[in-house]
Amino acid sequence: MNLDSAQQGYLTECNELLIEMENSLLQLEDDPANSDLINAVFRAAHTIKGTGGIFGFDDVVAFTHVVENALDSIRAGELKINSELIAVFLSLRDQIEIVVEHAVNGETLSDEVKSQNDELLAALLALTGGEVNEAQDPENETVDEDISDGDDSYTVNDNWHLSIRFSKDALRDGMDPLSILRYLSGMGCGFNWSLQHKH
Amino acid sequence: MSDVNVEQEEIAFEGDMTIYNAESFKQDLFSVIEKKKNVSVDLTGVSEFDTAGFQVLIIGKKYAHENKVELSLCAASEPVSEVFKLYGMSELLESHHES
Repeated sequence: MNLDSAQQGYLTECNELLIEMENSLLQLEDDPANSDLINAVFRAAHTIKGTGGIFGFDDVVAFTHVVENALDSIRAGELKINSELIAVFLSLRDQIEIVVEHAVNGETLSDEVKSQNDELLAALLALTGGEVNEAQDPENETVDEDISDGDDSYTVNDNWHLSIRFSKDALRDGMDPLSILRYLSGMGCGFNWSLQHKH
Repeated sequence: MSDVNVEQEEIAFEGDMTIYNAESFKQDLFSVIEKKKNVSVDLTGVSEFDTAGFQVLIIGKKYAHENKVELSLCAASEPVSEVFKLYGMSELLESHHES
């Protein structure tokens, strides 16, 4: 796999999502209760964060994570969107663009960008009353319909038990299970697996 | 009842053994197996290997068995051993038994 072209693809996708985010935010100014628009903004942030996590773009994950949390509160009705919030989200959207570009170009964030990040997140949190949490480990969010935890066994330690069941048509549909196995075994934690054959 | 003097066909594969040529490789492999001799596949030259390539080798083994001959997989290159290891099937590779 050509990692460069995958990262370029990510950049393209982010740019499209950021355009969508901006359009939705602008529409929300006139239609603040529109849950479709709020969902669109949330999904854009969520996807940028999730895919950024797969590439190991920790700065993108950390920054977008806070934005995503705020949007989630709005989605859940815990927080009402208003023009002040929209203005902050628009600035955050611009900042996400900067952080993503740095990540794809392999540049670490300058002190200037970092303090811009902090300022914007502080402004957001002042309005939402939330807290900055440590960016959590990316959840197993590459969940396709094929991946399910159908196993009823439990472990009593800190280990994770993943049960991955590929659909019959997975290979036919172009999914090579090796990519998941390689990704998981490259995560740096002890990873043991066994194949269970079911007919 | 196997004939201990069954001759051996040795074939070597060069290049990528992946989804792109799996079908044609499978046909070539099956033609060799149909000669009713044991087949030894030298995998040193396999540069890229994915699940499709893996599938061809596995059904090759099965087809050989159905034709009452043996298919052995030898000298797996790094890409090949990696995949067999990920699938927990390293014991199918002949080099696995060598010390």
